[in-house]
Amino acid sequence: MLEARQLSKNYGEVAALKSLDLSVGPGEIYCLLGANGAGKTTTINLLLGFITPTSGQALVGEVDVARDAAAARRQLAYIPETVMLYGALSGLENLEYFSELSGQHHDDQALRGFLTRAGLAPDAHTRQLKGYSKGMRQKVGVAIALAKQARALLLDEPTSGLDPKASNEFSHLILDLARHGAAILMATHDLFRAKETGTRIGIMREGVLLAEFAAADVTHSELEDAYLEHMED
Amino acid sequence: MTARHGMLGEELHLLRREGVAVWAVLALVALVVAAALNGRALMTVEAQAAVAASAEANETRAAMAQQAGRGVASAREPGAAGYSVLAAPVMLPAAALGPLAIGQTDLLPGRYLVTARGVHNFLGNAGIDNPLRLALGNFDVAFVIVWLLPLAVIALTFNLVSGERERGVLAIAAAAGSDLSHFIAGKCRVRALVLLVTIWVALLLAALVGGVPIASGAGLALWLVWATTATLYGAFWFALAVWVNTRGLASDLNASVLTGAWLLFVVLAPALTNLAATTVFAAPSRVALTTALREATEAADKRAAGERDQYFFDHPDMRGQDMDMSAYYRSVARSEREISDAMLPLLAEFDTQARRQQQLVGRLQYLSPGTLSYQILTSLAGSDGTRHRQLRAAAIEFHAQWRDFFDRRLLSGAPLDVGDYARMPQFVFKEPGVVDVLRRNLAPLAALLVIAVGLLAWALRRLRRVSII
Repeated sequence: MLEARQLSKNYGEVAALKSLDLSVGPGEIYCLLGANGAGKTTTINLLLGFITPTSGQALVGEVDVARDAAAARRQLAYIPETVMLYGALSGLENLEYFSELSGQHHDDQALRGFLTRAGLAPDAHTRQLKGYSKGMRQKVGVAIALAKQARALLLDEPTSGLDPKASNEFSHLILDLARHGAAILMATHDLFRAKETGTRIGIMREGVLLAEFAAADVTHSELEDAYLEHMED
Repeated sequence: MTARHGMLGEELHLLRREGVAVWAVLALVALVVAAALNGRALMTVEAQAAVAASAEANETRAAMAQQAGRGVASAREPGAAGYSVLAAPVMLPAAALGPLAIGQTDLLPGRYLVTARGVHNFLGNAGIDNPLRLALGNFDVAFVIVWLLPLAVIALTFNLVSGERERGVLAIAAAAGSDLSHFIAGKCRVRALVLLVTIWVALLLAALVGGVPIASGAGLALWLVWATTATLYGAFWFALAVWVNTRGLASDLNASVLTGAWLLFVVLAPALTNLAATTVFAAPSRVALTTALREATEAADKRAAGERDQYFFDHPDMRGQDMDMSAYYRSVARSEREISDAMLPLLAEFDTQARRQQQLVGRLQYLSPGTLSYQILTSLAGSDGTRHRQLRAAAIEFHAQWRDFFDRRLLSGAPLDVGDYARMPQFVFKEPGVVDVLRRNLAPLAALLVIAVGLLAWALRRLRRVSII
């Protein structure tokens, strides 16, 4: 569903991503680990078509993103590190706005259903977003993905700054989405969450994918050792 | 939650909920209406003063005519009537859009009291105004449009793209499958629509409360062009804001750049244009005018004293008494002509410099859409100085007729009768037609149109390449 083939991105002399090969199938959660500047966000931006690759291909459901970003994005949903959206609107209104934007027309009941499924309590649906916690805003982001019925999700450090409870709730949400067949690529610094949630885990450094594990094949401590080993100079 | 149809409804709802747009719109409408009321009040004061001056002149003339009919010597003496008692008010009629733009109405005289004495007696009678008001200008609708409308546009648009980027909305919207250029263009359209409706509703209210005769064809035509000018000016600021947003800067930087542009185009450019005009083509100072007048008066007084001595030498029987009234006023008439002749070159230089200043301002106005718009708005409202200069020229022309009326009778020794009072010249101001006014503003309007539309087209073109992250 999500695929990178020899995907590279240079900014002048600086190589942000070097010949990345990676694929995420339906129902799979791929967690990309790495320090800041490792190339995780660049990978997501290339899959979203926000930037163009220097070489290689980014594919979403066999669609080359560089050639037809709109067709690729129709199958995607994206949740950035900080979901700000419109503070003056309620969660329900934000969801309606972004659903309209993607050409989806849902009635009030359906919209409330998406918010509830994303874990947002009904009494918060009509409250202004500026009063939401970060975790609640992330849930609105998930509801947007649910409303769009996206086949693939790109998450850029979505649990960064969340408290453990909110982070745990978020993990359950994306596990639920994966169970319903979504392909999920998540960039994160959170080793614990990657091990708990991910199907596969990749470790990146300086634009290179250095290692890849099946989450089930490693323990928490083995993952941590491997990560630290790859981060050493 | 109420159902809203399509993105237009969603955007309007968003603008309403964010509050800034609502406050900007309400403030703009309130300021325009308040300015129109202020303009109407000033126009009313002017009109009342004009009516009072006219009534006083008519009463005096009627009383003199009655006295002439009864054979009162002073009322039958052309010199006494023309040089001492009668004054003909020469007044600028109220312009249709006067309440919308005070312009130079309170700086340049809008009425003169013409007597048979020299032109220098009535040309320099401009009133003394509050220096603070002279420095700041008038609070009229033109001021609100030129100075404050850009701030409302900036408040609505400074973060049109940057704000969406900073909130992560651009990325989420793009990922949602939205065509970003359509998404942003949609936001632009909604804000443009809000501004357009606000400007026209506010100006319609201004016309109604200001007493602009929009029911008449000419009044409506001028008001429509006035509102179109305000719209084009607003479009320029809107286009500039969109263009700045396409530069990929942060919202606070956008606000700084746009505020800087406002300072440049609205505050500095007009001030520098004015400074350039008055420096390059400096008019003779008031001191020079006063000195010349004193010298001319002294020379005329000397000549008149000599004439008086000659009179009493020729009429020894009159020594110890006043001069014969006709002889006295013939001497006054000669003195007034001598003073006028001496003053004319200086007054002509004053007019020439004023005309050159206006020509330079006419050329430099194209450097700033603010200056350009203000010139058009005041020109359409008849308060840019053009009508006042026409009045001044007409007053000088009328003065010649008025003086000749009395001098002819004074020199021929023919006394005034009741019929003469009815035959005295009447001043009628030839108001320039609407077509003339529009023709005069065609080039500035075309320039404003080109600037606004050109910048908007450029900005919208750049929107296609706007950066998401």
